[in-house]
Amino acid sequence: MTMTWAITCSWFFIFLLPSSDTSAAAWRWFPNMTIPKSKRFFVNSSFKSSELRYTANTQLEHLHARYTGTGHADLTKYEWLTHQHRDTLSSIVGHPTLTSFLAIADGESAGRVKFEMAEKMLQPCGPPPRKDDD
Amino acid sequence: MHLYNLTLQTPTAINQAIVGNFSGARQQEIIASHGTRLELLRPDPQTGKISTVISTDVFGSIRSLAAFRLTGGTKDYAITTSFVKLHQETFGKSGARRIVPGQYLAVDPKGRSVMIAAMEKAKLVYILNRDAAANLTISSPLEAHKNAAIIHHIVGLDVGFENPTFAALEVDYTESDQDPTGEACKNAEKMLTYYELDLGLNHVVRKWSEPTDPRANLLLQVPGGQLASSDRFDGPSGVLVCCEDHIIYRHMDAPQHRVPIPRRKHPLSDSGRGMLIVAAVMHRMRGAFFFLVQNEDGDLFKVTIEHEEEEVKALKIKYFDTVPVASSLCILKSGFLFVASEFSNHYLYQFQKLGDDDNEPEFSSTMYPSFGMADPSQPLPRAHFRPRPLDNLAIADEIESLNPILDSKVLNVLPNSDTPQIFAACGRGTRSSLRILRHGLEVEESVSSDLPGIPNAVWTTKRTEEDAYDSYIILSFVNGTLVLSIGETIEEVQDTGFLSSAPTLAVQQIGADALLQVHPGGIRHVLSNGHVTEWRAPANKSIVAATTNKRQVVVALSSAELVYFELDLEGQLNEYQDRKAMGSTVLALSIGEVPEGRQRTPYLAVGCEDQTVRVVSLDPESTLETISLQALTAPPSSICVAEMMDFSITRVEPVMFVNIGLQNGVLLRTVLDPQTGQLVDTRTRFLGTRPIKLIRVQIQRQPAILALSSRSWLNYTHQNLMHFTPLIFESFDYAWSFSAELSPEGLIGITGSTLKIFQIPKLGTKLKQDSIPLSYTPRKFITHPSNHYFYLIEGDHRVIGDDAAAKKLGELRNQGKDVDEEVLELPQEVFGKPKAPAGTWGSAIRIIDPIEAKTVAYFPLDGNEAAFSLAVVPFSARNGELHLVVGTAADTLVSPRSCSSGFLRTYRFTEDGAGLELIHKTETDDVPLALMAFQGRLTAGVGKALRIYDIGKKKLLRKVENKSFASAIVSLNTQGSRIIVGDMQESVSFAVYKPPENRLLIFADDSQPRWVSACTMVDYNTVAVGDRFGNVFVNRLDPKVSEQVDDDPTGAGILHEKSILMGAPHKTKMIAHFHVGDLVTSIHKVAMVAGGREILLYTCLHGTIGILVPFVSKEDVDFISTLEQHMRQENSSLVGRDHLTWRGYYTPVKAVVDGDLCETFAQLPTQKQSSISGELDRTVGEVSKKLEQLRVTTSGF
Repeated sequence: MTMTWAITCSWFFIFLLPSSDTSAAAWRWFPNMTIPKSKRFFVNSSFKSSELRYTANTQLEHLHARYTGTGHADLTKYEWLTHQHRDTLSSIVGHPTLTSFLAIADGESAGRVKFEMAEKMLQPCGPPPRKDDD
Repeated sequence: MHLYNLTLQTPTAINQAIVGNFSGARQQEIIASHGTRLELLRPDPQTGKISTVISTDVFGSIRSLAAFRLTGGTKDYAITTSFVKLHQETFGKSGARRIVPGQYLAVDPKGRSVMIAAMEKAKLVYILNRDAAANLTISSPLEAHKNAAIIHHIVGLDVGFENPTFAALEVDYTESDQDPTGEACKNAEKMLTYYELDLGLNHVVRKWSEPTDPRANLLLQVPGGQLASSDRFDGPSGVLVCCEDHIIYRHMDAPQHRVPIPRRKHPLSDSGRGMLIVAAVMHRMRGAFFFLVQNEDGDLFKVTIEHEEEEVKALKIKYFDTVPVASSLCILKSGFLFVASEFSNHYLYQFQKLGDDDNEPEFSSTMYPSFGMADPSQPLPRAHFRPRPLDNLAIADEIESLNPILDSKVLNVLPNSDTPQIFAACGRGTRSSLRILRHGLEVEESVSSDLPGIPNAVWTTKRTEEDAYDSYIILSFVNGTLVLSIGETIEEVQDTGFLSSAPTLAVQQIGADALLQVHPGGIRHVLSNGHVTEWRAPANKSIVAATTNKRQVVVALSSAELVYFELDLEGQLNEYQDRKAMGSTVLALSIGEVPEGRQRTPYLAVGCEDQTVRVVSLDPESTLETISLQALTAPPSSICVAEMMDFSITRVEPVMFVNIGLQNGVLLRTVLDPQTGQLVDTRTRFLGTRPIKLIRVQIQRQPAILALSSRSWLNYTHQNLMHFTPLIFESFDYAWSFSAELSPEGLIGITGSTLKIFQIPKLGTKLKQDSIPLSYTPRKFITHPSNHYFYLIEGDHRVIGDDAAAKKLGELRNQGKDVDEEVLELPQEVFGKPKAPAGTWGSAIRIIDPIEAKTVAYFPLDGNEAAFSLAVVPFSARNGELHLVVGTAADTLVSPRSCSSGFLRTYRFTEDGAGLELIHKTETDDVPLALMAFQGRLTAGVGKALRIYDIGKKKLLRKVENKSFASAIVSLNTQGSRIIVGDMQESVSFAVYKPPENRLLIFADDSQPRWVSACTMVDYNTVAVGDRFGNVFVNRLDPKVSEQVDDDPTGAGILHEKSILMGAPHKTKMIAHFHVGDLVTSIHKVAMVAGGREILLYTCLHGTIGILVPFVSKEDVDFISTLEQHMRQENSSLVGRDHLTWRGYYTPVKAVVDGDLCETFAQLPTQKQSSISGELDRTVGEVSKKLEQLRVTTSGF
């Protein structure tokens, strides 16, 4: 048993989306969402009328507003990583076995592990990189 | 490969427990969530014992529980989960994710609404109501979402009958995500926000939001609202905000009150460490209320609020008692406190007093300026207390819990046992133990006394039908009978009317007040006036077997004839005119009890020497006619007919079982069809090596059967299902029920010339636990190939080792500092060890004798070293002498992993393995997490490197190394020259050692990332692996690749092959996958039954023990998988989780059938059972027989 080594710095990097949806992986980003077939691939719809493109975009914006953590084309590395970490941290709090596992490894109580994980969600990967003013 | 998953021991950890009146009885009960199971516990207020009422698998993960009560109702309902599902509201189908609500649940104390929140953003509010038919209805959800808010806790406010209000502890991360300087993150405020549900407008409004302590973690509801009958306020309303080191009272437009959380004044404790409240409970009693809050050390504090109407005058806190750290605390109105421990056993405590007038220092908010809120950013002066043994509480009961199981071994070391035991290293910190788990029921012996001779049978009997307890014990010897009377003492009596000069065959309390004795020469009927009527066996014939019940007697004569007697209405025993010739010597006879309201039982089962069992009618119209016949494989030794409840067969009435014990130790259990008298549905079971004796007994006022062979077994009904479990006790020659004032539910048995009276205290349990205490959390243990000792390593992070502690104390004393000696003397098993900063370790090596269940030797590690791995290695350079190698590391930090130095400590065994002698220490650059003996040398996984070491004079010598592993090696297995390496994150790789070139090469790995937590080889090409997310899977290497690699003498071929997917040149294929729902910590390939098939047994962190059984035939696979499909449709989960998605939580389930689901077939209504079995072209009996057979032949459970 490798209890002690439950945590290494790299455990954050796991892609921990415990999606129960066992169908196509592409749908993981949009769980529980049905998009009309004509609007699924908004990138390819550029040749269509501008109105359609407009609705597709608002729909996407709506999606992003609704499903925190959804990725988009302009996602920066920092944002992506922060999302991953927040997902992982909340998954640890949400799965009691993982909480216990980390608690035993670190010699803390399960309550403390949950609290520290939730605290870490505020800024899991340090401050954001400075934006270039260009 | 197809596998069948069966859980032998369900998880024992309690993640959450709630209290309420659930079953409608006027008694409070506790619902405990075991993660994937729900259990209803009922504490008995009289005895203080806690018992399980019902337990059910929900086939899903329970995230949160809350009880609520509709206004005026008497029944509490449990949200998301009640054993009768009242309502199920779907709000997220994709598991426990960040924005899927369900992590937190808060209910309005008046039961009007409920808030369900996620870790981030999402909060849904539902209105609960009742329709005209008083059914629970639930509204569509109202959203109270707040983007970019991390939710720490929510609670329902007590506002009486005003609009329901919820309080939430939230942090907004919008600004910290934008600010590159990190200032915003530092200054991020934790907000206490009130959400009001406007019942009139049917929407939720954010009513009030104020910053609170940035380290707040928990909210507690403070009673409030006016009583309808009077103008008096229940309390001030508002919330208690538990923060690190402080508790703050807060309410809208009210002054705050703050008190410090007192801490222990331990000379060694880390003073910079904050105190966190991890569990809390509020209790109301007669207009007053108090809180019990618990910190991380397990200390309970009583928090009270002094108030006048709605105005808070003072917040007070004082030390209450110390109990294990809880995941949930429940206070029952009957004066009990249930502590669901986060690790190890759970406890039920009884309140002795409420700590009102003791000398404990009390800290009040009035002691500090502005009620402690003069400067909220500064901590209050530290408050201290001295922990002491229990004063306000007393232990009433204990529930054993294996949680957490960190390592296990399955082997048979105990003498006189034919099945292996499971040894599990359990627990955490000072409450750790090594537990020996044996399949069977625990037996409590109350009396043991020696007899003058060796009796061959024992009975007890009452004197009259109305007697509550037994009056006589009758012992039969080879040449006589001894009668003992049960009173204040047990003594011999003469004047009972029993014949003492001959052995006895049967004893029965017959009719209203008569006794009956059957002996080889005849039958004695002792009437209540002492008058004896005797029936004598015909000349030259003797009675060889007899069976009796309240109204009937059947005896078999040595001439193979049956004689039947029946009691008439005057209490006379009448012989039936004909005798029945059986044609073959009768070996065993049995009739059932007289069914209530009937004259007689209509069937007699007769076992003959010609290996048959015949069912003979006792009905007046066809007396002594043979109805049916069953052939056996060996002569019967004993028969027992008993009517027992078994819901898997019928729910209407008890089923008449004919149990036939054979001389070769096999038991046949058949069902006697009450209409036709045919024997159907035969099930067989091997019990032991001796001929079986079967005895009908009473267990908890239910009929049960004791089966005695080389082991004793008990067949009983528990929660309406049949159980068949061995007794963990010496084997008996004979046994009988025993009921006296002191032990109303006892049994009496004879072993050799000893008479024993015993009880079976815990029905329904399958595993008996014996434990050996440990000092730190166990990490791993191994066995020795030639002696029976276990070598165990234990260690704890943030704990100061004993040596270092003594040294530090000495220093403190030398400096003349005040050291509180009383605190140091407190037992560490209860109070734990003081917390130390990260990077401090306490660790030891322990040698355990599992047969004597004791520690043989204990070697603490010094220099802040902690042990992580160990192996017994026969070094060929030392002529195969066995050495123990322990992998340790000094000053280890867990995250990120680092150490000042790793060590491989090499020990020589002394005193036949009972002692160790350190030969040398070898430094390593990283932590050695896995060690294994390999071809007379040592293989070590040191961080990312796999190395082979040989022994040298001063050190171990590194021979070969491969550093291409991804994160850290955590498991090693070997066969031949192949090494299976489990990586912490990157699944399992196959490596090979090629001696000619001294190369260690990886030739195959997995195409999926897997966080390996346990691994074992199933065969040369196949591995079974458990991962950290609760999955078990089996990977197989293509045999062709395997051959190719083995045929390559130098490994040059592998070396130059092209890598695939940036890994090894070959990939293994996943052939089976299953989500267990608990973190697998060890996996073994073992045979659980003597002579049985090998299976995979796994143990999990939260106490689950399960097995994976390979199917033998294609038909079985088809049959069971079709059954599973039907079960999925019929048996929808209590929490509404789709079974297929649950078992395929991370990866779709593959080639594994869920036996736990299939076994719920027994609990389905009869109609559904028959419709499913109809679809399978089987009978209901055949289906349940198949399921039982799968369980019994592979696990023996």
